[in-house]
Amino acid sequence: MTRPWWVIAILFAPTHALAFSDHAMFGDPVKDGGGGGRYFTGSRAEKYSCSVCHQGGDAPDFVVDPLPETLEAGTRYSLVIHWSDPESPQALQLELATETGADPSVMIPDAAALPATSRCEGSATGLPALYSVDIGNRRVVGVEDCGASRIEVSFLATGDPIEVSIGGVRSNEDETPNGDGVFDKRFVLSPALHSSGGGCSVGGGSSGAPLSIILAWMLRRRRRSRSRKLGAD
Amino acid sequence: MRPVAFQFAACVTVIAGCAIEPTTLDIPNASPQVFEEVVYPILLADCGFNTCHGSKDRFFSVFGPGRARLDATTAAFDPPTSYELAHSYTRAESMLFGPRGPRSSLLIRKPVPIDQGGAGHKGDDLWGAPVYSSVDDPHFVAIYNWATAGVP
Repeated sequence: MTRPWWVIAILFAPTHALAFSDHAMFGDPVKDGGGGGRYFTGSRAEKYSCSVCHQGGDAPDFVVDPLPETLEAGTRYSLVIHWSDPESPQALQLELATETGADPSVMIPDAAALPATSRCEGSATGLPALYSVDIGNRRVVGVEDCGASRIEVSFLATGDPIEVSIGGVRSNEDETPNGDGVFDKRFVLSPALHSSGGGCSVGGGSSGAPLSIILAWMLRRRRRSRSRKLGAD
Repeated sequence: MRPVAFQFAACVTVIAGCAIEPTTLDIPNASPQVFEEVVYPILLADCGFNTCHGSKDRFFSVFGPGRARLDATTAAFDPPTSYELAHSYTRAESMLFGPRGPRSSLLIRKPVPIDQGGAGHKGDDLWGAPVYSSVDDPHFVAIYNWATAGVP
């Protein structure tokens, strides 16, 4: 695999939050020092997150903006993550997946449309800090640790729960995974529930008939008991 | 015969009858070449994390590039050293001893689901799943084929 000179330069740069300073290395064979196809997002398909190697330091301060409690199928939503202190080496990988593990049409903005906060050095002319990698039906989104401070990705609600897995690392810059801080967040976005039968109906379900029989029997018993009482009087 | 002597003789007879018959121990002879080319990269990718089997605290441990290094002074992306290869091979091969040969060994039984013959594995993933979700996982099949090659 040949890489441009700037990738080689990044490979030998000393301060990087990820073990694989060039994100292409996540897909490279482990014998060549790559991730062996692992991206450490912590998703169900990925299995493991960054904490499987990095440990011991202060966690990065990634903030995930709140999303609606329930998602309307067919609507596109934005997932926004921001962090302070972009000068410290912090990187993250994230993945959204439906119950089948498929990517819910995750999209990152066009490189030309990226704001300065999503670019290296936080500069309007900086290289995009955001990238995406497709692995089968999965899409992993990553952020290089090059000075960005905010990302926004969009996804399409499918009507099924969507699992969001985010893994991030803040490096202590000692070239080992020890002493690095880890951010590890997983949550599920639920689809909005819509009733199709127009409200509760005792007789509408399969349990309706037995329930109405019990109710009728209880009513009849109550009437009988009342009539006995009345007769006694 | 006195009662105590009779009881002692009876015990000796029972114990002798229950003694385990000596068996031959099948010494694993898994190919070092196949290990280096096929199995080592898989074990490195799936097990060699710092907090898992990339820790020197574990008997079964595997070290190499892109994962934990055996010698902390080795650069993260340098090729595997001969010590790392030898260590990883001997530890993996040692894990192939089993009561009924390599098929019953811990290296084969630990990473797969219990309902598929697995032995349970403390280090489930973040979702509570074993290392390999099925014995049909291509990585597991490669390890299994290496471990059982030539074994009747």
